[in-house]
Amino acid sequence: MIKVYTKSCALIFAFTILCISAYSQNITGTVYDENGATLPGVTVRIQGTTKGDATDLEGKFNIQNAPVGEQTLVYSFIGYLEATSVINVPASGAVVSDKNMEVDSKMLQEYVVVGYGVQRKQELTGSISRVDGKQITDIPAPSFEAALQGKAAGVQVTQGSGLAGSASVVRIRGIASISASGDPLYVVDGIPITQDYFLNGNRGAMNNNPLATINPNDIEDIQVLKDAAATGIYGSRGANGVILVTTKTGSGKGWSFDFNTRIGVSVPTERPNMLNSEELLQIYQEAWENDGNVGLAPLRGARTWEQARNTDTDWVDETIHTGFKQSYNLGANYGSKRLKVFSSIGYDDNGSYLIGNSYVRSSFRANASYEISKKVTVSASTSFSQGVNNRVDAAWSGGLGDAMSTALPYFPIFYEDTVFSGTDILHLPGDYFVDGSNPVRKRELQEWRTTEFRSINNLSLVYKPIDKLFVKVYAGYDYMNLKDDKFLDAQYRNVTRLDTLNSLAERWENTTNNYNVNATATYFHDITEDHKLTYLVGGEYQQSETVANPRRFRQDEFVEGTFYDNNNLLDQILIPGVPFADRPLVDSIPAIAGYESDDDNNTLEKYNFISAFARINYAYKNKYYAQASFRTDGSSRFGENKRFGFFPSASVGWVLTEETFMTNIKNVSFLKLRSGWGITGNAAIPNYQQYGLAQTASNGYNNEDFRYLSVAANPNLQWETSSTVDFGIEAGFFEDRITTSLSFYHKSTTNVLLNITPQVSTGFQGFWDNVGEIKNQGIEFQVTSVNFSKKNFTWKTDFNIAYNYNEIVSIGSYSPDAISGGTNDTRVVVGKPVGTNFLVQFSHIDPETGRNVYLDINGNETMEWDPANRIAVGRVLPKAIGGITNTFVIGNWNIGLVLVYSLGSNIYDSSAKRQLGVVSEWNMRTDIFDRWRQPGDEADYAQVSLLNENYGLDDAFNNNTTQFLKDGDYLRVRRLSVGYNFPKFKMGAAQFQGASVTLSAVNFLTFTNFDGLDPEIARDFENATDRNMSPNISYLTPPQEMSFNLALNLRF
Amino acid sequence: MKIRNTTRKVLIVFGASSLLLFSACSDLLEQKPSTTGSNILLATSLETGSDLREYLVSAYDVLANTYNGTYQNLPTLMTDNLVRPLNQDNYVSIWLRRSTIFNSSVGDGFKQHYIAILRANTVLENLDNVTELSPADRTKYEAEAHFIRALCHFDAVRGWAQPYGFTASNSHPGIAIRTSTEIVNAPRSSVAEVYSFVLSEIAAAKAGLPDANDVYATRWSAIALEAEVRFQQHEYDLSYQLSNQLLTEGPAIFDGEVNKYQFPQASPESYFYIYSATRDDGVNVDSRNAGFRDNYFNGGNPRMLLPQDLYTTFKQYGDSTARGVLYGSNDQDGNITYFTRMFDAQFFNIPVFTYTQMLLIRAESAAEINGDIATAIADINAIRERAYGSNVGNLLATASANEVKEAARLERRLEFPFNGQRFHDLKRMGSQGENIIVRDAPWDCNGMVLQFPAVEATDFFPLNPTGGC
Repeated sequence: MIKVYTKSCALIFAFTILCISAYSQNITGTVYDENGATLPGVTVRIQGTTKGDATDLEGKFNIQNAPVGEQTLVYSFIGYLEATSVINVPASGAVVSDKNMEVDSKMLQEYVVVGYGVQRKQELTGSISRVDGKQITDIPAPSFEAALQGKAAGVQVTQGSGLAGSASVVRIRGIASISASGDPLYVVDGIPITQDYFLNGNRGAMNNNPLATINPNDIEDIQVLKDAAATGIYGSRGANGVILVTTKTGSGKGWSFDFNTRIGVSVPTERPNMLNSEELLQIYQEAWENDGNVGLAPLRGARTWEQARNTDTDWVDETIHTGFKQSYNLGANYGSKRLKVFSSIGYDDNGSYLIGNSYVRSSFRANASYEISKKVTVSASTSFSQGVNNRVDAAWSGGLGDAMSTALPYFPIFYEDTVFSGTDILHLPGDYFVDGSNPVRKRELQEWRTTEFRSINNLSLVYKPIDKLFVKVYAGYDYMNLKDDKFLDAQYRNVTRLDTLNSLAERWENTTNNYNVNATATYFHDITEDHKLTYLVGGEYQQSETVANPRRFRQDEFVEGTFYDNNNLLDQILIPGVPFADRPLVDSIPAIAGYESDDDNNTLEKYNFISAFARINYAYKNKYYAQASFRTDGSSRFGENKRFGFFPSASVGWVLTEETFMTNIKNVSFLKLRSGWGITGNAAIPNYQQYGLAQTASNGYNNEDFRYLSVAANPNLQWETSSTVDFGIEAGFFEDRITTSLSFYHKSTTNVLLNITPQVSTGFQGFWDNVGEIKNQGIEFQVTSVNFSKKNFTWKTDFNIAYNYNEIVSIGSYSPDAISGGTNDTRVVVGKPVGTNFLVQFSHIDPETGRNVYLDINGNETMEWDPANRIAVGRVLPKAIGGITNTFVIGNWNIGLVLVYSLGSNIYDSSAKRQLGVVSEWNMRTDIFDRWRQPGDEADYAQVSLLNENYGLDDAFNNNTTQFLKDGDYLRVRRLSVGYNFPKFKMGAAQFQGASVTLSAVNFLTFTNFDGLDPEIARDFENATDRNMSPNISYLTPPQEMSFNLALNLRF
Repeated sequence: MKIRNTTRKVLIVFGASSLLLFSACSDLLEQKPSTTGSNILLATSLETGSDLREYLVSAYDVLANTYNGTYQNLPTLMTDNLVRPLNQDNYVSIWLRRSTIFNSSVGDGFKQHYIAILRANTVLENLDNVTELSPADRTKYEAEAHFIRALCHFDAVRGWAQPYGFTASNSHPGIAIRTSTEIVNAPRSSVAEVYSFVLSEIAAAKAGLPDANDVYATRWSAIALEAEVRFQQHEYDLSYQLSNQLLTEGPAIFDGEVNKYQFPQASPESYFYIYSATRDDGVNVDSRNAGFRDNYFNGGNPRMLLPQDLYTTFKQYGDSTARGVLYGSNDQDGNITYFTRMFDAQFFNIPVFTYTQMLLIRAESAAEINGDIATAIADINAIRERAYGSNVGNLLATASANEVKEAARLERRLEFPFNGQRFHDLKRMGSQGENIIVRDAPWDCNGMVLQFPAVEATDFFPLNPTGGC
């Protein structure tokens, strides 16, 4: 949208320098682009005169009354290299001069989208990374943000697990929040979209990814705003960075089309090494005997030893397969002088390696802008997309998680024999085994899908009342409907054949309506040729309403098979006049007699922001730049006393290469210094936490209604505030063959929003307060180098690295255990980074007794695990992250190699504490072979036992020690691709502008010392605190997927 | 010049309109949760006397979920009345007397007491903030809230601190005293301070509680609580007086049933009990007995089992005595386990203070103070005759004070083996200088005190020491 307006501006500008002539000779001609398409709006003038014209829709120009003799024509157009041609104008008659113009790749990159506008890159005084749309689609990722990995310095992207549609964790310049969301603000075409990962809770060990419905193919580019100079204009919501997503707009002339398709297969990057039946039985019996028991150990799941010995179920094999992926995307582009249209339809079926799991996205988008008059341009865009996530249980919830834990290899999938209770038949041969964990049963007897319908729309009008003044009115509407539908077959709910439970259909539904309106005025004020000012003022209002509506339907009749497959039943319930508003799964259950419905649990949540902002940019002689921005935000989420916040920023830039003293320094083509300061905020907390809240309930003690205080009021609840200083150097060498940038930043966050678990004796379980202080500082370096450039061979390297230091400066008077971070084992400890492992130190296995030896708080050895001995250890956040991309173009071939790396972090392998700890109801990993067996053994793991106390533990789950804290460094070949470009060609009657075929392998090679599954971990989280504090904790987390893909692109 | 004017105008217009937008829409930021759902604003939830009553009911609601066995199991696990529990890691570590800050059973037990206290505090803080509250109701609600605070502080200090008498001055660390809903860190008050607070709360409760109050606390409940407190404090004069007052003036009567976990009516012996109400449909029951039933019965696979010696004592005068039939044994491949049938019924009410308890407090107190031994003997014999159906186990009329004390203590163990009283008795005896060893560990070893949940700890709130049992 904003680009359109820039281009319109250029067009208008081009037209205005037309001049009137008194000569009689005409120069006509047509201007083409490098592909031979005509270019409208190009300014053509005669050098040294004021004569000129702008090309029309057909790219034609006509300069009348040109002076006779040799003349130089100068062709200029934004985004193209200025071109000249020398012609001889005869004394009489016209002359024709056609011209081809070349795209100025440097110029194209020079305009970047900033908050509420665009700026020339040279003028930027803030820190912004741009990622081109092409780079977003080159990796088949569950969601667009995953493709940002390694492509922008200081942007840490940890891709979601192997679950289809899973969400990545994106952190810009470290993490400055603890309980409020640490995610950047996502703004799509001007609207801060609904980005709540917890609308659907943590059901099935997965957080819904609200970004997954956005079609990556629709994205023109992504700008990552990193420092306060860039994010300041987003005020209260800029503290964790802003990701501006701009979708494609029409361009060029006439119609053009782009068709992409991709097919691929996926497998896990690593396979769990669980014990087989024989191995587990041996370990189990050994533990039984070690505990002083005699005879054969009683087995789990009511299995006899004979049955167990005859069963060896590989539950990993039963839960994974080779996933299949396919995607199709057709984009249509239309450009004319006034109308620009982009439209696309897309279908993406992303099957993961987990059996039954896929994310299917269908999407449509239409973007258009129309220049009604030279003063008025109207733009609109709309998108509809549906993401259907065919769900499976994962991690702690089941599926592969069961295969890695409680599904024991001596459990069968089906009973082999009839099982009686007295004379009653409990199970017949072929019935699903239910006496222990059985992920196959769980998967096959439940239908589960999450359907997200998303529509992001906006409408804007740019009005230019006078020269250089642009008034823009904008309205955005983001609709999101999330339905999580589960159908539990009666057979699933009935444990034995004696049970008579009914099947159950459940739906959790959330609908969010998110509106945004803003109005801005931008005025370009050229005081003199050298002094230029740009003013922006604006106001904005955003409102979001979410209705949560959980429902359950239960059938009265026992039904064989799934509900929607049972057509007879559907016939029975298709009763005329009964509303069919709500459809669990694909078919409907009306709320009629015979069906139980729990439909009165609607809750509405609403929040809003009111904002006013202004920005002033000053430029002197294209070499000195300054910017100041101010924003005031009001939010409904804060206490009445603290509702409004003020967020200023100021920054300066100096382009040294524009100075005369630099002109003699060869090979330095560009050098800029910039520095900025600003205050930004974070308001991403649950609604209504400032109010004292009560819960009401009926049918309590003695059948009486009751009510109680649930949330304590905090009228002083306010913004979390970050003060950021940034200093950067940007340079280009050898005519920008090498471009590089280096940034330093320091961010100090105060009033950190904490969801505190107060002393239990307060009677409260949690409350929100502004307590803490966090420091982030770091260095980012980025270099792009065209190492080799010849006609038939070019080699380009992009490299970036970011180092971040993160420290909690204060958490008030609270203990490290006081910040509730969900189920994980990280804590907040002053002097340590956000999210620190807090573990008892493991020393070794005592060679004499085979028992775990720990260290107490003073470093003395002890065999008792005591939480008083926990220390802050390990880092969940890496010290350094980055990416290396090499691109080779050899004639029509191209090879891409994307490497990403993460250094200086630890992974806490939280499942290993069970898989390699107390012998329990869990299966174990083959690592347990290295266990202590007799005095003198030097082993990795203790003598096996079924008793917690033999490990010095009070609970098998509390086995949190440094024994399972692992080195998390990795270097990963994120993508290797080989492609071939076909130039313009014909196929029958069809004329193609080009085509390409690409073969790619994703995540196929990883270098790491981590001995768990995959070192790149974004597990399921309980809440935002968990998401901030507990990356790099693995708990039965499905490993990342490795995929192999074949892509075809056609342009016509 | 013209441009400058325009610029200025534009700035003024937009500046002004932004300001206008701001001030006009400021009220829009007043977003409050809907008042129709279950989540409502505190202010609107507390307007009338009946609202206040609902707050009070919520405190009882928590008590009912705490005293349904969930709390009682914690002290019982530390005693010699149970063998190592099956398949319950949390309970095993309590039984091993090595529970930590992460033991969720211990943590929940602790938390529930304080949630009830918070709810009682909400009532006390808002007595004057509501309309339509009669003076009589005001007095009653206030007294009920004091009773709940007294009961919860008392049981918390008995579980999470060394007992009264552990130090001569009782200056050893107790628990947090909570008298307001404000979220502030509280220090560990001394045991002396906590007992003093509990007694003042009981006084306030007694002053306002009626003699009858449906299923809720009465003046008799408060007196029974005070008798327990005094007994725990070794103030046997007072515990004698109070138990005697209850036995002679109170509404409860001696019941022929040994098992006090009765339904649908609570045992007539109850001075205060947890009620499982039959729902309005007359069929379903709001069952408040899960903590007992889920562990001692558990669908016929009990996790909480007796040691053989205790079982043998129960069966001392035969399988079929009223007491004997409450216990059974299982033999699985030579592995013999002993269980109770006391909690087999699907629904039952749970007495917190009973007539039998008071009989035994009176008897033991009398023995301790060398008081009315004859009555004490009669008290014990009444219980034994009920248990054995005859006088086969009776004390002789000539029994000494010491014999009476020992008999009373044994009866306490046998009459209410699973309500936590055994633990409190062991601590009481130890803290009055007796050499008490419980399952090979001294009565005051660190693990004989429950650990606080992790977040209770602050710089001013030290956790209990661990190990040593």
